[in-house]
Amino acid sequence: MTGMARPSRVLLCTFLSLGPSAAGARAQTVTAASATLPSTASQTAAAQAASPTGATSTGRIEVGVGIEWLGQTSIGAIDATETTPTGSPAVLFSTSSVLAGAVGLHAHVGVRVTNALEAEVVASRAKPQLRTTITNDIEAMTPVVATDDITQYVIGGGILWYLPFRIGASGLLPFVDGSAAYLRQLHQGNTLVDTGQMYRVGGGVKYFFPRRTNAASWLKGYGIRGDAGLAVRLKGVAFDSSARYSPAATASIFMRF
Amino acid sequence: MKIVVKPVGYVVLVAFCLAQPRPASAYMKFGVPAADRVVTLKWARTPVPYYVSEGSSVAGVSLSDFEGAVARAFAKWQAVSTAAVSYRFVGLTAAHPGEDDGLSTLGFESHPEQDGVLASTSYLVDSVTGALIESDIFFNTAFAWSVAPNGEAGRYDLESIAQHETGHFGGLGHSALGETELTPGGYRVISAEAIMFPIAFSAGSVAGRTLKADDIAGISDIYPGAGFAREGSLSGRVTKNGNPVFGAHIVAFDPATRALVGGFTLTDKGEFSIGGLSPGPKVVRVEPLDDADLDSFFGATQAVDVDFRVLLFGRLVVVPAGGDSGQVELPVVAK
Repeated sequence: MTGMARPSRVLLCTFLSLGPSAAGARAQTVTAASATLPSTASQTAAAQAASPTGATSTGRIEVGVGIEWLGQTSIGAIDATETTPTGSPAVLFSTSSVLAGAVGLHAHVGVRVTNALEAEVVASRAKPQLRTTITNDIEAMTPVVATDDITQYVIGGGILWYLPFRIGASGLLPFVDGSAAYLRQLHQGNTLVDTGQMYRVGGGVKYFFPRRTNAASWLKGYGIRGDAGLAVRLKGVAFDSSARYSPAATASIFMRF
Repeated sequence: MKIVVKPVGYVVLVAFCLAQPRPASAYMKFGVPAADRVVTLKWARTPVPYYVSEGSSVAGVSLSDFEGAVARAFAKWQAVSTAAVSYRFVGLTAAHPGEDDGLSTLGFESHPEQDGVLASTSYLVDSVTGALIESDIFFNTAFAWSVAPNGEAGRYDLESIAQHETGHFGGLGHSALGETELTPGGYRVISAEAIMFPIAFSAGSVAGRTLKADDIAGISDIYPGAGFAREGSLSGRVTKNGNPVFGAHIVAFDPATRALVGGFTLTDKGEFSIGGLSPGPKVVRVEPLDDADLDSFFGATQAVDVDFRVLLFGRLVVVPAGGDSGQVELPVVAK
């Protein structure tokens, strides 16, 4: 997250200079930026000419819900050992564990900080399965997979930065985002809680549906959002202290107010 | 009225495990009959005083060597952070282990007739209250002994054997966490993960000086100390074709701590309970008691079922902090 915050200052200026065509308020901002950053003013004009109607300026608050997929991540391979007369270990059986991939629910609330930058609260709920494969048992021949159903909650905050261009004629609005969140994982039967942190970096696109002329005035826009990236889990369900990496993707619908 | 409980030896163990009305927690604790009930064998007060017999020296082990080895063994039990038990060396005594004098005495004794017993622990128990009055340990001079820091070929490590016997002294029974092979001379230990495994490592080994998770869980369960309340337990029953299995050995493995802790089914319903477990998901394994003589664990009249295959349970059993997993049914199948 620190990495995201630091470049955002620079990128904000870039956005101000390259922002899509704007309403009056944004035009004033561009003007202000132009006053202090004359070297980017020409880029602003070029971008405005190339961009379709701007969407990020429609509404200040965005609320979205959707589904999230978190990929499988290894939890570690650990042997159950006994001690030999020389003091060295002898394997009783071996284990290899993963937190399986899972699809869950996702929600976010974003607040526009500038035309390029949004601050978000993100939350999700999923039910991944902890799977431990037991092999090489000294007496049992057949490997066994032992499982535990996990209920996982994530809540945290992040930022989203709109890239200073649009994709093709469709008006897809690309962005990069990152978040840091509290991770709470309940084991089967809710008898035990593991907590940790989840960090996520990635990017995606938003598509704003054309606004109907008879739409309610409070609804400034709506659309769909898709993003993908890398999730990094610290602690939580784990058999050691290593960071765990997995791919992550989210698809949601959103409304802006 | 007092009763003398038969000795618990090392290498070849005298049958010893009195019937218990409820499953013991982990490893094996001793239950002793008292009036109309069975109570856990344990010291009522600590530090527990002990004496060393004046004649406790053999070739390679002086009296002070003996005192030092025994003191180190007691100190390791005492150092278990989740247990509240301590021991105090009072001094030398002219008494011998096995004398019903109210003094807990440790020493060397000559028992050539017990050629399979390295050492043995016995108890004197009040049969009315079940209170533990005295516990004696003898180390058999029929064997060669050593206190060399790294062991000595052909000689048994006194500290390792004392570590096991002082576990009995505290009230612990045997653990089945070990693998053996049958040789013409008896069982040979391939590996073990409990000091309280009934068969000693071979002569020259000093691997038996270090307490394992199973030992720590056991002593903590008998003498729960600070932090033990956060530990949890795993309980359930073992069945075969729907019928209870008595004497099955259940092992809980924690991948996070790498700890192996075992227990037994000890009731006619096939129930077990393993206490002293750190919170978290556990891999559960059930095996028949086939790595030592059954009388190392159970009385001769108790019908231990060893006719089933090893079971690796298909669910990770979650042990909560300070609570129990809830009853887990572990179905085994006949060989």
